[in-house]
Amino acid sequence: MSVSTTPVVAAALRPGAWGFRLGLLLALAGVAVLAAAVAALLVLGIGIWGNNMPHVWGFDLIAYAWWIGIANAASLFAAVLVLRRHGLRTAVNRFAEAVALAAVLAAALYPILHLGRPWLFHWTIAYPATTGLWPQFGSPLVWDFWGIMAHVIVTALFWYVGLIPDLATLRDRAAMQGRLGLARAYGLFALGWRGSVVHWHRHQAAYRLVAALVLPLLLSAQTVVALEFATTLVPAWHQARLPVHMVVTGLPSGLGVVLAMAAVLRHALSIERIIDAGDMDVLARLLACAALASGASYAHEILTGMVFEDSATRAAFTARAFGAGAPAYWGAILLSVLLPQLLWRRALRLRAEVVIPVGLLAAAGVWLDRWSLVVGGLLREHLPAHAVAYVPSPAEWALLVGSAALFGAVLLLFGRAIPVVAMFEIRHEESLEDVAEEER
Amino acid sequence: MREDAQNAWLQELPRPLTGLAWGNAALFDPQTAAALRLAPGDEVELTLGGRSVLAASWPVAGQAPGCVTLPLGSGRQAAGAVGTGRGFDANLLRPSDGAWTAPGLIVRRTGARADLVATAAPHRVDEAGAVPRLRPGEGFAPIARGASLHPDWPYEGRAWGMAIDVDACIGCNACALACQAENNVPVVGPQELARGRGMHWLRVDRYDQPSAAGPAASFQPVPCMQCEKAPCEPVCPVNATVHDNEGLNVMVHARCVGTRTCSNNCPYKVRRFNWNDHRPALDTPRRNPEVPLRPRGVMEKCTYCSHRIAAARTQAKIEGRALRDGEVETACQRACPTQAITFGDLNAAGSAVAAKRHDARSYALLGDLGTRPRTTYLAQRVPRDTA
Repeated sequence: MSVSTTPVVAAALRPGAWGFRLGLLLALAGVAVLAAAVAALLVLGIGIWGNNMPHVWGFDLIAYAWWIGIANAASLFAAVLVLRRHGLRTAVNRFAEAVALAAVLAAALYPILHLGRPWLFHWTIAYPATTGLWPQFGSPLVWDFWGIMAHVIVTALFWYVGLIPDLATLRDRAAMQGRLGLARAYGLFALGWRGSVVHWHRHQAAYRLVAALVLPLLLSAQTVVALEFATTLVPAWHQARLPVHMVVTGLPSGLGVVLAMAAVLRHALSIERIIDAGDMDVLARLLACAALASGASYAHEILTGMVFEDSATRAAFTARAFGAGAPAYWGAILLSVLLPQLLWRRALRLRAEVVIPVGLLAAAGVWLDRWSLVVGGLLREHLPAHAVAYVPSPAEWALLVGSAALFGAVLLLFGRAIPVVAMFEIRHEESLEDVAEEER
Repeated sequence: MREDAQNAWLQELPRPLTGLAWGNAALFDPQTAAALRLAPGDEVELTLGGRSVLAASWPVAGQAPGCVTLPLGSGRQAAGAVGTGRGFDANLLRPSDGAWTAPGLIVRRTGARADLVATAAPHRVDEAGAVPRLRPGEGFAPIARGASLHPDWPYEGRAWGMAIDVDACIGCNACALACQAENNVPVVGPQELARGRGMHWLRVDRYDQPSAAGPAASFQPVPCMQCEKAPCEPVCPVNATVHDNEGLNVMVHARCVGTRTCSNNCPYKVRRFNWNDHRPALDTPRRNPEVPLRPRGVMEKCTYCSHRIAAARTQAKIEGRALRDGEVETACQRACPTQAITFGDLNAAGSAVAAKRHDARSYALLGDLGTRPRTTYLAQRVPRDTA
């Protein structure tokens, strides 16, 4: 048995189909919205947002934590597949990495844009400044700078190292078709790959090394985001369990997006044989599992919030989960915990029209959880402040929609310019099967 | 007076009992409001002797049941850009003989919501123990220092502190206004204030107190507490808010990049953020030249009038003497008609503020959080007849 990688290459080298062009057009329109929102933000300042006292953070930090969660779950998933040499990795590895990279890029916008004076963001970087002043290393926002930078670098490396042999394949095919300029472009990024045994040996070592690097970093990136909240005195935020809670509840978003992407890609690119029903089956069950774990974390939160915490924390949690913040809190549980449980039914998880909305709604549920934390967490503070409700402004919606469009555009361009699944991994799987057949 | 109606500082200053700014409201007793099914801020049509006016309704504890108070002085037709059209004109209902009271008022709910700017909830209960009240003879234990992982700051010279007597405070808000004038604090206008973006460095919190003798309120001025273990300091990534050698928690505006984390971590919520650029409106000859204007995108807060401290320090140095107790007066302290605010050097033996710090009524707001505030309070005494 052998699976041809030709459709994968064809997808990358073929002139754009109308569906792709329409999608890219929509995404680029969204990116234009993003550019307008960013320009308005820089010129007019964050006064155009809906923030106030005490809601100094809103869509900015919600979206940041959310995109990080998507990136985390997606690359955590990819890294686990590489390290375990799992059969599923042939199918979903590459685009899980691409999802992670695009999400990190979308996330990286926010820590800079949400500043009152974004053009001075570099002051959070430790460098020997002429002022003689170093950043405050005790601040979780400085940790966050390291967290997001490490995340961007490692995610990009992970994706790129895995891509090198395939870039070489694309280079060779483009050269065979006589498209020399394109062949040079791919060749530049293929780093002179010739496919020798030494190359393969080093590549495997490097790839697994980077994958191993991903694991602790993923925990740390989401943890650092959580620490921005957990280290404060705000009763609803000041909890040691928050980092674990954010890592675990973030999983359904990344897995949901990867699952929905997989369902879209296999139909759009006619690669049902490469991302086969078995892969979709495993991925859907993983999402259901992650949702269960997330549900356990919510149960623990409710138990500790209602029973074990001090009275200030209890009051804050009650307001967040059962008071004015209840719609977001229970909406998050409904979408990111309960809804994915549908996927335990095999008949449902093999249908694209079920899997795509469930995956995307799970991601939306995680967004609601972040809203519940950032906005709902301030419903009750130490003093009975007269808190004016936080209402996001059109400028903030534009930024959210725009960053989603940027995410989509990056993924679409990835899908066009480079193989969506790892061709060398597929060939590797085939050769293992061939060896097994020969032995028989 | 018309001149006052044109004063944006006064328009934006919250009224002590209602917390309303930029306009007035018809004040109802909470039970009467509930009987009329009026939510705070509902619009009502008030009719008296054939004349009627549209007004916002607002419940106030202590208002006599079945009786509505209509504050005069709002709803002006010609009071400039600042004063025109704020609230409603209660004179329209006033009888021609100039009587202060009149029976027979008809209240009708219009179903609309009024354009009201509220800076406080109509009913505030002191759940956090912010304004404890002492019976005669009672007192607090000395304020505990609380444990901290961070080493203590040494104070070889001065250590500034403030004591605010909640018992003496009448909630007039003069301190807040004086602070605004002194420190070039911007007026943000009704829209921004209604969005929760007021800039007052000092606010006066009102708490409704249960009392046998009828409704009572406690007033608590809340400036920056200048915490010794300031939660805002370690969370700022760029060291824009730091401790100085005399105990002040100093905000370095030029260094601030506007992450707003400090405000998140401030349990007293006394930090204010420049959501917009207020400098054009402030940069007039009326501004205080001693205090810089803050650009858009930076945090600001009470400084203990550090420019007054610097001026007094310089003067003492010129005259070759030590600073005298009471020589530095903050703007809020200077304006307080009941002398509820005391400021000075906690390190100086016999200073007024040190004496108040050791008073049996002295307590720290949210002291159990371990912030060690430099601004402490003197608790209210409960009068013998209401205790």
